[in-house]
Amino acid sequence: MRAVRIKLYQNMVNYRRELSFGYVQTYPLPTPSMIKGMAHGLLNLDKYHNLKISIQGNYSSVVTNMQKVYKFDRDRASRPNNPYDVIVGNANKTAMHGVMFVDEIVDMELMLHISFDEDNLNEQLLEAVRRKTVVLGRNEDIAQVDFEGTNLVDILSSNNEYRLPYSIYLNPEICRNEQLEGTHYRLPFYYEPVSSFNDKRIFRYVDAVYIAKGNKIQYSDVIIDSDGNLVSFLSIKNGCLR
Amino acid sequence: MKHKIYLRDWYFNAGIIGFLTIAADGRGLDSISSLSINENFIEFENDIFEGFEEKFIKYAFIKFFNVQAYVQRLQKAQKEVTDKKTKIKPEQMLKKIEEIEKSPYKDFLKLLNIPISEYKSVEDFINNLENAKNTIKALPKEQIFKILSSSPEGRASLQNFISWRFKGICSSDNISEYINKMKSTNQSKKLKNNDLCLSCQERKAEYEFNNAISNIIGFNKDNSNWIWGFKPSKLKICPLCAIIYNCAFASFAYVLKSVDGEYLNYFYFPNENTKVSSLFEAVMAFNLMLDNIEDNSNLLYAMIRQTIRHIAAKQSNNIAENINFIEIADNPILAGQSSKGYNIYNYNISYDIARFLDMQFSADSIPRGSYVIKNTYYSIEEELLKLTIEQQLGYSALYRYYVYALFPERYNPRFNLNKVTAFVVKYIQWIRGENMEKSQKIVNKGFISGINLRNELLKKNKENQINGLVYGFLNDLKIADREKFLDKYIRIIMSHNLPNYFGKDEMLDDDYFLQFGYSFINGLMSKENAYEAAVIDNSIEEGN
Repeated sequence: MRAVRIKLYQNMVNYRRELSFGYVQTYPLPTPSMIKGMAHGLLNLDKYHNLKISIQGNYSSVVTNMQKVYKFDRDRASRPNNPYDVIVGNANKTAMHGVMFVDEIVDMELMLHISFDEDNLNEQLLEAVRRKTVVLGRNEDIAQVDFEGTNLVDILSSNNEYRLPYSIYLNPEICRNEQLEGTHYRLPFYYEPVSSFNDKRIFRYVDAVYIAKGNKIQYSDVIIDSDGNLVSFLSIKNGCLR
Repeated sequence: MKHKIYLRDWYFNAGIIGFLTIAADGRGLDSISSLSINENFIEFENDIFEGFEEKFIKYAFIKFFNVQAYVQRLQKAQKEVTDKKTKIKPEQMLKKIEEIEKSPYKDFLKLLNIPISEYKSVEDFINNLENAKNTIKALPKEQIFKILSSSPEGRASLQNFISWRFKGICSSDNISEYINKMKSTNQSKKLKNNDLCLSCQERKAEYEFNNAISNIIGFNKDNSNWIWGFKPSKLKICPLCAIIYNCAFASFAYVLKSVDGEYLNYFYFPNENTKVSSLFEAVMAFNLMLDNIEDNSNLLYAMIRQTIRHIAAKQSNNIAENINFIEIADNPILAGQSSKGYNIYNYNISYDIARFLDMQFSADSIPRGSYVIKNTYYSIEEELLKLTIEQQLGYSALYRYYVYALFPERYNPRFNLNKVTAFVVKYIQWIRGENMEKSQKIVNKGFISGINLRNELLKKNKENQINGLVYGFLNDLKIADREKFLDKYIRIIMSHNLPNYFGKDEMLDDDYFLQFGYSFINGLMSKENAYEAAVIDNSIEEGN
């Protein structure tokens, strides 16, 4: 099996926990649905193509930032005393602003492995990552690509001992075998097809455990890439569905 | 029918813990027959809803009925009657009874069988009020609830109290509707995606996810697109998620704070993402801790202490996985016509800071005290803890406290500058990765130098010069201007024939210069004969 290994750096990033509001929380690593969206976006794909995703990364700290948010959807007539005039399309609107508290991860270094079932998509993805701007997280979360670390790699099995150099989403079964303590997440993987932007996005989920770097994997068979990096694929086929 | 609820964001997590707390009703979680708790989800059957509404109301009452606030109502009436004892008319006493028994505590005394209406004289009436106060203080809240809920009038009065207290917090009025819906719905047919609850994505969406459900986080139709999509009508949730959201209050620690003469709600919640069971334990442990705190103004202190212990015990080195806590502060400015506004603050505590604070808690070296700005009381320990956690504690904070101490008539400072200085210096040394040994010597030198100068000025009847000198030195320290400070310092000690304590370390290192400077001012501002009284703690162990 082959996969694209992508190494990214992001300075201040938020991988939003769905429905967190007022104080917007972040996952410690991007979710598979975010990576899936990034890959599909880079390839301009308009429907879901099956893929496996491995996500690991380290960061320096998490800060809680304050953000000013603007809203401009009220008609002038309904808010006569509002001092702001905003033209949206052909309509005159007024604006409001508020404050949100947002968790931001500082100095995120990510190592992703993406393996599409269709091998040609892996090659195209590598090409796209090298040519296009990569965004992961919010719209403003542009990622810097480490070209040296970004390659097509072979995926091999291994039964060596591993000390995790990065924090990682691991399969719960491995964690049970290894008696590793971590945070259990039910991560969104992809949403079912929608016909318009207003349709609800109903997700398929995969179970994973966030394990901090420095932990050891000793007894389980694992997979690695051709440079010896541990890979922990999450996929809908192999993942535990709700 | 089995229901599964997963941990998610902090507010929903608070809802899950509140839901479990109410369902357990003071017993262990294992008393809930159909409940199973997994790492990141809970599973239960519909029988959990038997008697749930009653428990919900009970918890709401116990959480929000403040005995002290109610007794104050009686106290006020008692004082007014006592002041006008000779002139008071019978109809005025009747009016007082009406005032006491009006909403939101409608007919509480009558319903609790505490007589205040039977009196022959003003003295009798005052005694009745005194007896009523003592009876209320002696009654456990559970007992008060039990009596009130035993009659239809009492239940109506309870409902009225809870609706008033929940305004801007959650929607208690609909809880019975949500529960009945859960009991009667048997969801067997497959729903279209657009009909699913946005929150759990499993059950049928029926209720708008707006202020009616999520008051505290301030979600409403106007800002629905900050969650997702542009049509608020799409943002509906199922009755079970609505129940969960409405139960969040039961897991919050709650305190009323006086800000600018107005009482505001403050809520606290310790959040942890790792497991349902450990999150439940953390909340329970914290609430137990609160039972031992008489003065609720120490709530934040307790919250941080609990969090620190938890992190230190877990030795978790991963910030996002640490237990963090959330403070939700009433903000009248953000409120709409029928809603309240809240600010939500999150405090993450890194392992390193947790270790530092753990040592300070163990040594009981967190400074305590207060100051006042424009009728608002500020707690020193709360401020210092927050600044420490946010890793923003530094000389600017120290400067502020010195200014407050310099103008007692304006700020009414009630704190010990020695302790504050020692704490800030310890923190700075910790962040620098250095021990306190060198700093301690410098702090002592500065302090002694300040004391010497003060005593000299007092001896020469020049006490009126002290505040001017302090003000000048403080300005130099504010902008960390070593040259100006040193120029002033050398001139003043030479003019009084005093020894120069300013050394090489202070000359070469900004931190040491500032530590010397503030300690010198501290000595200069000390009370008379403070030399013996204000001995700086020399027993600080290395690393503290």
